Amino acid sequence: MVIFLRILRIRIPFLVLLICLFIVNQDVHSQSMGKLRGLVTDSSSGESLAYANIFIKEINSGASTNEHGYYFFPALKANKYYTVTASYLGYKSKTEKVFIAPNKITIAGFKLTPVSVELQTIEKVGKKIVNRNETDLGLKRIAISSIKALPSGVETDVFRSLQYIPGVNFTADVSAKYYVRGGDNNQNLVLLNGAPVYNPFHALGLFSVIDPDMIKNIKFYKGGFTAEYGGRLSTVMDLITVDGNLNKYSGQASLSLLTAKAMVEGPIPHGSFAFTGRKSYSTKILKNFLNDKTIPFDFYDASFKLNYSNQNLIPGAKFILHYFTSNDKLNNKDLFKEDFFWQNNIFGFSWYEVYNIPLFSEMNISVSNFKGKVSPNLSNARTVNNKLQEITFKYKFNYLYDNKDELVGGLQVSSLNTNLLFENNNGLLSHIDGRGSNFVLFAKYKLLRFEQIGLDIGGRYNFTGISKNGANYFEPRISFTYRPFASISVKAAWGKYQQEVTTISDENEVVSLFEPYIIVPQYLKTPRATHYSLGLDIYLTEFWNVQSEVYYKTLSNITAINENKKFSGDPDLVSAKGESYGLELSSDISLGSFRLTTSYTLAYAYKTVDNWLYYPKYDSRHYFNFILETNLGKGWKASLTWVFKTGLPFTPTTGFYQKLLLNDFRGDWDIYSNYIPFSILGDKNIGRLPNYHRMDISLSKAVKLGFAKFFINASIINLYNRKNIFFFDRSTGKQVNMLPFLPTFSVKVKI
Amino acid sequence: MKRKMFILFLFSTAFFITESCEESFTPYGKFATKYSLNFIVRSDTSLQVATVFKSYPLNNNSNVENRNKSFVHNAFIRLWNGKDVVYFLRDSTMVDTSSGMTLSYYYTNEYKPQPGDNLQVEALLPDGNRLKSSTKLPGKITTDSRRSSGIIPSKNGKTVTFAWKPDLNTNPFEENQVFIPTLYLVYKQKIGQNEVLKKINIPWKYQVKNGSEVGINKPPNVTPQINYSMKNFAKVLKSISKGDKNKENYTILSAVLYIKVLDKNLSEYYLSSKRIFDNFSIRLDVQDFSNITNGFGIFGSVIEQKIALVFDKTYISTFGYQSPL
Repeated sequence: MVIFLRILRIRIPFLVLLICLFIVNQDVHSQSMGKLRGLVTDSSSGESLAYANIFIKEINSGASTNEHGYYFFPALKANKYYTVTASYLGYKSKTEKVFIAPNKITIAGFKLTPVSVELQTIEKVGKKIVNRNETDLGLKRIAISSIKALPSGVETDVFRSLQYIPGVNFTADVSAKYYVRGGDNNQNLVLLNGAPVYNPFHALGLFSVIDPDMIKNIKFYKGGFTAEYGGRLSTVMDLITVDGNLNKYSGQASLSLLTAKAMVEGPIPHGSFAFTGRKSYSTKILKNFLNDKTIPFDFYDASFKLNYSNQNLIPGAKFILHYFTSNDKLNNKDLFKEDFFWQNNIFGFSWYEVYNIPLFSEMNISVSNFKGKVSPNLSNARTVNNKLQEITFKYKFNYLYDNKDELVGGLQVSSLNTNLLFENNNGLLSHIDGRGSNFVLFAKYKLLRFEQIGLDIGGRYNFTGISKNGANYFEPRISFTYRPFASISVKAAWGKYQQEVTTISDENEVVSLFEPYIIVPQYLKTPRATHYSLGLDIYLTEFWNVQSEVYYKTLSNITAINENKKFSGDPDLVSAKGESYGLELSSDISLGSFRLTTSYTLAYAYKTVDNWLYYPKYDSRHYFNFILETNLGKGWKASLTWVFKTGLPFTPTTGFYQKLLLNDFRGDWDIYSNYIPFSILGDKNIGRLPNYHRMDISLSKAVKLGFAKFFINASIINLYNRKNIFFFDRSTGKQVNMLPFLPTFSVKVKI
Repeated sequence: MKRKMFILFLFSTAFFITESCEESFTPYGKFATKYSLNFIVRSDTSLQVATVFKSYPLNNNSNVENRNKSFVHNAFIRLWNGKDVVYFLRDSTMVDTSSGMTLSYYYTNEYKPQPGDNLQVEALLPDGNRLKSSTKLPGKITTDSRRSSGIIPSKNGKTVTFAWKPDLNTNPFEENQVFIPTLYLVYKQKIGQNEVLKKINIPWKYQVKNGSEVGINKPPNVTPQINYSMKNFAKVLKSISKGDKNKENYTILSAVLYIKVLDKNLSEYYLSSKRIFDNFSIRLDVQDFSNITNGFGIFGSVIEQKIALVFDKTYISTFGYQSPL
C-alpha cells in the first residue's frame, strides 16, 4: 500500500494521463457493429506469419498481425461484405470477401503461398496505410529471408546482419558483438522466445549461437523501446523460433566450411514440433579470423520447440514448450595451456490465448542458465568461473478497443542468481555472488484512434530490485507518431531505462571468450539511461522509403572495471557515465527485381571513468552501408554489400622503455639482460585507426531435384582484399589486419 | 542483361574503391623522454644490482640495441637499509661470456639483506631527474604445523602438504604475496668411504611432452601451501638409486621446501607482468605496475627460506634405504 501511495505521489501526472485515456475509452457497442479476427499462416508449413499486413479496401484501413500471426479489427459495420487482403514478404498476397456478422467476432484466416522463385519483395498493398500511425521509432523488424540473402562470412549470422542497420556498430570482423548508439555490448538484451540469453556467442564471439534456420521473427529495438521490455539500457533483440511444419514432416541439412546443421519438423496431434542442431566439424577456416592462429574450438547448439493447440480443450489457446542449448569447448590438452568452456541452457513454457472478446494474453515461464569457465592449468591465463541462473515469469495482456486503441499490461517476476570467481589484472582472486528478485508491473496505452496520430504511453515500475539499489524505480516510456501527409510521418520517443546486471568486462579486450555476468554490486548505484529520439519516415514513391532519426542518450552509473584494484577490499567495478548522440539516415528502394538499401550514420559517443573523458572503443564517427540485392532469375540470386566506417579510437604508443621481465625466479634469473621493449601509452583512445571498408558479394542458386531442393551459396568476403587494421601488437609493432579476401561456400538440402 | 549489369557494377565499384584508397598510418603519438629504474634486492647474496634506462621513440626490435642505447650511465644511486646505513651503487659494465653482449648495470656488493628490512632507493640522473622508491623485505616464515603433514607419508597416504606462515615476530603475509616453492629430496650417498650430501628436485606434477615425462614445479602463486602426490615422492626415491643394487648406501634425510618470497611491490609487479589473460583473448592495452616515483620499473625484494619434513623410517625401508631416525 505504501508503495502504491509512493507511486501515486511521485508519478501522478503520468498516471493521471493513463487513467484519463482509459476512462475516455469506453467501448461503444452498436448493434450494427461486428469484429474481425484471423490468423495468417504459411500455406505450406502452417507456420504463423508475424507482422503480415491486412488491408480492408472498403474502409481504406489496415492492420498488422502480431508476433503470433493474429490480426484484429475491433469495429466494422456489420451485415456487409468486406474485401480483405493479406500480404507478407516473400508470399503471394491473397484477397477474400468476408462477411461481418453483427455483435460477434468473425474469424477469417489467410493461408499465404510462398513465392519461391520470384524476388522476395513485399507487395505494397496497403503498406502505407497499415503503417500510418504505428509507434515504432527505433524498431526494426528483420525478415530472416533478408538475412539469408546477404553474403555470409563462413556462417550466416543473425547478429552480424545488424551491422547494416544505421546506428549499429561492430568493432571487428572477428566479433559478432554489437554496439548501438553509444551503448556497450552488455547493454543489449537478447530474448529467445521470451527468455534472456547471456553471452550468446560461439567461438570467441565470431558469430552468435542463434542459428538463423531456427528463427521465425526478429524484432530489434535500437532504442526507445516501450514498456513491455526492460532490464537493459540500450537495445532489445526479440527472437522467436519456428513453430514447425503443421502439415507434413520435413527436414533440411546444410554444410558450411565450419559447421554441419540439420533441422527436422513436422506435425503432432493438435500441434507441431521443430528441432534444429548445429555442430562444428572443422575450424581450419577460423585461422583467417584469428591472425593465422589454430584454435581447437568445438561447439554445438540445438533447439527444440513443441506447439500444442487443441481447440476442443481450450479454444483459442496455444501452448509452447521450448528448449535451447549451446556449448563451446576449447580444450588444449596441454597442462601449460588453458582450457575454456561455456554453455547456455534455456527452457521455457508459453501459454498464448486469444479470447472471444478482443483480448490476447500471453504467459511465459523460462529458466536461463549460463556457465562459463576458464581453467588456466599452468598457463598465464586467469581463472574465471561464472554461473548464472535467471528464472522469469511474465504475463502480458493486450486489450483492443473498438476505436483501435489498445491497452497493454502485465507483470514480470525475475529471480537471478550469479556466482563469479575471477582473477583480476593484478592476479587477485575475487569471489562475487549475487542473488535478487525483480517484481515489475508494466502498462501502456496505445492511442491509435486517430488516423494521423499514434501514441504509446506507459511505463514499468520496479517494486523490488535484483540489485540493492534497483527497487522502487519507475521507467516511463513514450513513443509518438504524427502523420501529417499520407507519405510522411514524424516520430518521437523518450524513455528511462534501468539495468541491474553487468559484466566484468575489460574494454581493452577486443576479443574475449565470454564476459562474466554479475548483479550490479551493492556499492554501486544502479545503471540507468535516458533515450531521446526523433524521426522522419517518408515514402518518396511507392517503392522508395527514406527514414531519418536523431538520438541523444545519457548513461549514468554504468560499470567499468576497476583498473586500480590492488587489494581484495578494493571494488572490482567503478561507476562510469556515458553520453551519445547522432543522426541516422536510410533509404530503401525496391524496384523490379532489384533492392537497394543504403544508410549513413553520424555518431558521437563519450565515456567518463574516474573523471577521465574518452571515446569508447566502438565510437566510429561516420558509417555508411550499401546493400544491393537482385534476383537474376531461374533460381539465381546475388547480393553485394559495402560497408565504410571512419576509424575507431585507439590509444597511441608514445614511446618504449626497457621493462624487466621476471620468470619464475628458479634457476638463472638476472636483472642484467632480461628486458623487453614495453609501450608507453598516450591518452586513452585519443588516436584514430584508418577508415574501414569492405565489400562482400554473394551468389546463390536454388535447384529442385526430385523431391529435394538444393540451395547452393558462394560468398566472397572482402572482395578487394582491403587491409583493415584490427589492432597493433604493441610488443612487436606488427599490424594485425581483419579478414582478408575470403571465399566461402555452403550447401543446403531441403526435403 | 540484368546479370551483366550486376557484374559490371560490381567490378567497376571494386576497381574504384581499390584504386582510390591509399593511406598512411602511424600508431605512434608524441614522444617525451621518461626513465625507468629496476632494482631487486636478493637475500641470497650481498651483490645487489640495479639498472636505469631512458625511453626511446621507436622499437627497432633489437633487444640488445634497445638496451644498450637506452641505458643511463653516470647516475648517482643510493640505497638506505633503514638502519642509517647508505650504500652507493657503482656504474659498471661486463661482457656476458655466453652471448658476448656488453651489459651495463649499477651494483653494490656490500649489502646482505635481512628479512624485514625497510629499504629506500634514490637515483639522481645526469639530467637532474630523480627516481625514488621504497620497499620492505619479506619477514621470516615458519612451518604451519596445523595445516602441514607431520611426516612423509601423510596420514591419508596420498598427498603431502607443506604449509607455512609468518614467523611470530613478523607481520602477517601481505595480501597477494607471491611464493615460489621448490621441493628437494635431501639424501646422503655412500661412495667408497665417503658420504656425499645430495639433493634432487621432487616435481609438483609430471607432464608428458614429446612422449617423455617431464617434471614441473608449481608456478609462482599466492597460496602459502603446496600439496605433493605421494606418487611423486616414490618416483624420485626410486630414481636416485636406479641401476644401483646397493640400496643401503643411501640415507634419506628429509624433504626440504625452498620458498622464495616476493615482497608486496615485487609481487604486484610480477602478477601484473603476466601480460595476457589467455592465449586467445586480445587486449589492446596492457596494464603496467610500477612503484618508482617519477618513472617506470620496480624496486622490490625477494628472500629465500626453507621448511622441511622428515620421512617415516618404515616407508624409507620399503625402498631399501637407510633412515637417520
